[in-house]
Amino acid sequence: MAIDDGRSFEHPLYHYWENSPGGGIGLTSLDRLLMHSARHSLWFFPMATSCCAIEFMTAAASRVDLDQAGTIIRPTPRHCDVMVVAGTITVKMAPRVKKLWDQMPEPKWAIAMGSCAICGDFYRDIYSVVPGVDVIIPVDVYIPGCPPNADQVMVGLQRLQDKIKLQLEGKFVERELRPGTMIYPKIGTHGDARQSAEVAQAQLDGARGLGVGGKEHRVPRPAAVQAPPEADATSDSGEQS
Amino acid sequence: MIPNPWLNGLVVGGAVLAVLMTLGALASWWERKFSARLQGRVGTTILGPWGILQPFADAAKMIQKEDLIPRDADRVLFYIAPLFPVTLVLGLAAVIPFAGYWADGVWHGAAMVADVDVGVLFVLALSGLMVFPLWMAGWASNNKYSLLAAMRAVAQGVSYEIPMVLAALVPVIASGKLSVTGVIAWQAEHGWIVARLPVVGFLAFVLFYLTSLAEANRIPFDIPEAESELVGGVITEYTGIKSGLFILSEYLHTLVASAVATGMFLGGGHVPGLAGLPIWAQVVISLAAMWFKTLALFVSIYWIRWSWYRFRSDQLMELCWRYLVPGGLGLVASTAVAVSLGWV
Amino acid sequence: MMGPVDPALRDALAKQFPDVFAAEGDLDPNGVVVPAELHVALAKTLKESFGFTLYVSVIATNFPTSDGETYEVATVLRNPTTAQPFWWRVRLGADPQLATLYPLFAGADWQEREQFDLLGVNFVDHPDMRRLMLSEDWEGFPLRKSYAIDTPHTPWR
Repeated sequence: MAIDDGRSFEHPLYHYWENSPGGGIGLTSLDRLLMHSARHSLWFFPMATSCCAIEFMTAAASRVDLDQAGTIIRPTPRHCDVMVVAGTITVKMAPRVKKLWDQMPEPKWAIAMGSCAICGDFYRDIYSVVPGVDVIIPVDVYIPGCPPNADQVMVGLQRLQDKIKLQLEGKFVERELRPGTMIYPKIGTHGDARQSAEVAQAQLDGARGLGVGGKEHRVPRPAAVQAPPEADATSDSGEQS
Repeated sequence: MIPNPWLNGLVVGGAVLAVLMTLGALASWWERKFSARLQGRVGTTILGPWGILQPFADAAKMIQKEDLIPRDADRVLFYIAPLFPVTLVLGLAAVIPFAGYWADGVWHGAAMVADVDVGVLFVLALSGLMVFPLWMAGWASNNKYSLLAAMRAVAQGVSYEIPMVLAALVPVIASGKLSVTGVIAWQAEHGWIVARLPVVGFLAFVLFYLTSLAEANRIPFDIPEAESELVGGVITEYTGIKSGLFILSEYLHTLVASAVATGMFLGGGHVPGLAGLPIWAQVVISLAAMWFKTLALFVSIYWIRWSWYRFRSDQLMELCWRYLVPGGLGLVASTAVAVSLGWV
Repeated sequence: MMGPVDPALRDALAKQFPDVFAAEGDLDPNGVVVPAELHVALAKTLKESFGFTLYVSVIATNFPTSDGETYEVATVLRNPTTAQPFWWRVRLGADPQLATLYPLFAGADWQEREQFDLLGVNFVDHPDMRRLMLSEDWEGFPLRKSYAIDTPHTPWR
């Protein structure tokens, strides 16, 4: 669960220290130190079910190296801070996701990666798919894409780091709205005023089976199957060639 | 070094403790960088120059985590299990001389917390005790993966102690001394075990090296913590700083095991040509030499860890009992024969 | 489509199962329709006499015909040495029951469970006939034509 005020646990000594003369400065510095440590050492739990898992693995690999930000991928939820839900969550998997989420110790966050985890993607209305993982667990950062590029996973991680920092400063307490309402795709779909005319025409031509410039490029039909040549004099059919 | 043993233990012990704990933390940073370079990545870069402050951020984060205990876990064992690995490993480091110098034609050990006459026995005993915290953690977690991992860890640890003892007997028989300082002194006078005993020395070193890998649960012997099979191994249920202590103890154990192997087989702090120098210079140079050799072995252990596959449980056991134990016995016998015939 | 079958195989099958396999001409490329009683015997013959030892798959389809429901269960075997596939279909009515091939092929275990899970085809004497991919407490068989694709399953939907 995202911690709204940046603190997860208040020890009884905390208030004593806070209210002692001059203690408040040390306490805020300690808070900031702990917050920065948590920010830069987020250990991931890969709840990787579908194709987004491959992109997640790519993000952990060479070109986009998630380890740069201090993340380690741990297999057990007890060691992890962030659950990255990468892939479709089915009805059968849902109680297991909830169980593993509950097993993670506080402070913990969740990242929904890819449209299946955000909203169920085009599997949304199917009998066996949970429409988005935020039906089950509270999600802090949504990374849109199907699948998102590997570097977008790094961007999502940085967004989570910013969110942790802002939470300590008390500036950010709402859950992030779903990106479908916030982020506009750069290439407009058919009929969109922001789409360029050439792209629109090319899409229409493609739908009609035409090639570049509107030229016909359908694969020609194969020639009709020829009858086998009748060379065998002992054949039963008696057909004349 | 300091004549009063209590004061020596306090001062040198404090220094060794501080150095080893810092090195253990930095080892985790170094491993991430090294493995990253092996895999074509860069590793941690953000905190501090080259990301060197990352382990301290990890530790600070772990302190903040909620401390969870499974409901049906054995609370006492669960609490005390993480304390043992680090303590045992630091205890191991107490009998290793990290430096040395020549005085009156006799090699003396320096930078040593305790000059124990039965140092080798002490080292082997503590290595054997390392099985207990793994078993406690696995049993107390009340988790089937932890239990399975603990069973395997115990089987592996107990089995590989035997070839380790046999390999450690080779320098003991050759030098006639049971203390680590004595073995190093003998090597300083006669040449390093690895080179002095023609084939047997090298094989004994390899045997000791492999069994140290097995005792420290390093690949290729890391079935007890095999991630793809056993979730997190024995530390599956440990959160926060408790799991941090287990993880730290892995690095420390590897480091100290490398130091022990260096002392027993590679001559410890001894380098040729130290005889005429002033004592402080000898101490400094031997300290540097000891750490150079130890870190060379440490790097090689992690190189193996990031390149090789792991053994299956049965392959592991077969290797130990069918090849390493008879091999170790053969090595001990050869050494004994060589010593009795006066060849060494 | 199943390709042309070895003539020796076709003749032997025609001799053993005369009502089912025609003695001449190519076999139905969609799979010959076999009565349910001969299902196990055919599989046994193919496995033991003709080397079709690889059980590939079983696929059931639901055809809602005007006079009731029909299920076609197609079983696919393959001969590993000649790499030739062979399949046949069994037509069943509503509430389909078919003998299991588990005693002959261990690989039929989960394949038949999948068809039970999604279409409700019950395989008689199967050792472990329960759902495979949906949760244990699911009601209904989703791939039947009568099943609404957006049936809600509380509490997750």
